[in-house]
Amino acid sequence: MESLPTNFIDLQFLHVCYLFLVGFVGGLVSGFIGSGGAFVLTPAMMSLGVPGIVAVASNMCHKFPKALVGAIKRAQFGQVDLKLGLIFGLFAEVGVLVGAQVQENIREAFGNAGSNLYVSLTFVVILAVVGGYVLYDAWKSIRDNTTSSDEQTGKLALWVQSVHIPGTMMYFKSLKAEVSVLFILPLGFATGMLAATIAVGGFIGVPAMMYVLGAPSLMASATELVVAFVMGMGGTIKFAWSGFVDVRLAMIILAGSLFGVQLGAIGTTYVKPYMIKLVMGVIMVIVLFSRALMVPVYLSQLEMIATIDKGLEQILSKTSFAIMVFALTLGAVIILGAMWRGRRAETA
Amino acid sequence: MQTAKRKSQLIKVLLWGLFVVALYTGLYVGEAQLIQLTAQGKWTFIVPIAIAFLFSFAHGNFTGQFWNILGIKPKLSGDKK
Repeated sequence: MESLPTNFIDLQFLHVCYLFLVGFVGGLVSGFIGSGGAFVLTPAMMSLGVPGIVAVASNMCHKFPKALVGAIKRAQFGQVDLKLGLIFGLFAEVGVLVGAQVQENIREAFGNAGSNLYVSLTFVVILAVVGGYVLYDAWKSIRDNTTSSDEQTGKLALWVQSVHIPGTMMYFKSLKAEVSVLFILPLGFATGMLAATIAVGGFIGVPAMMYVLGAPSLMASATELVVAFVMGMGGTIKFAWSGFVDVRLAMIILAGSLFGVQLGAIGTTYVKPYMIKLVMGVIMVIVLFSRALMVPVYLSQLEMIATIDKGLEQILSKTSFAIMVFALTLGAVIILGAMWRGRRAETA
Repeated sequence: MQTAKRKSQLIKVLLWGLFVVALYTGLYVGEAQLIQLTAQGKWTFIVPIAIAFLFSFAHGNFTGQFWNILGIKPKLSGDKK
């Protein structure tokens, strides 16, 4: 075989099996909550020796076709609001470009450790605030009314829907109301910024659609797949233009993730809407701990605290990755469990 | 009747599966040339995008049929909107 360009690793059979499996679990979670499988794939590829930028680029290249297949599947169940997804995705794309530039500037000013610290702190702050709220809301739904599949539109969303700004109003079927595009702009932008920073924009996108715009959770998570498709495609073009996409890695992950995304999408038809919030909240809060563990490592590399011993640094880094894998696996187990119970109740 | 339907579903899933295997075999065989090409960047960005669409079309259909044939189908009662 000809020698490979320096950015691309020589793939072994075990690498393929590993990526297929991680892809499957990531796809399952994405198909169910609209997002959230991607954050473990970049570190998974890097653990095989893939350079960071190639891992990010290849992740993007698997993400958009996966989101496309997931969105088509969930559109068949009537869960996708295409118009909202495309408009949200467009603003998110702008956020991705700005977010990537911010990352670049931070890396130039503070080096790799500075950039890693910024990513980890973003993880911790966003996941603590949004993830905590999503989990609290899921718990409230379970406590108050476990049998209802109806969701109440929140106060914030009712206010947003009541604001009329002439020339900017648009009707969205998922909201069953008109909303000003000016509200969607910052939400989409923030989703894109987050996607460029931690690879999972949906941790802002889905809660934003649920709590700020007033979309039901099933529709929000399905519509996020359209947003992920738009962002992923734009990101892939950008990275492929610079030659960073390893299409082999992307297609191997896709092989596993399409099995997962289909199963996750089918799973949404068996569960009560609060399950989306529960899975999302649980994953977000666990991942928060994973990233929080790494903050002292980066602070030490930046010499902002006393230097951490290399051995301890390794332990923290490995534990952090293990917690991330655990978060995703737990999400997958909850989804499969809920699906299993839903199917059993159906056939009983 | 039921058996005939199941048989046609099985043929469908096998055909999609064969198509997917052919695509991945092609990827494996042309691996080196493919990444030499895409590593050049610029307008070669079309190659990974086109491959991604082709694979998602074929493999998306295969995986959809695969779960279907195993009896894992969506519950479409109309109350989940």
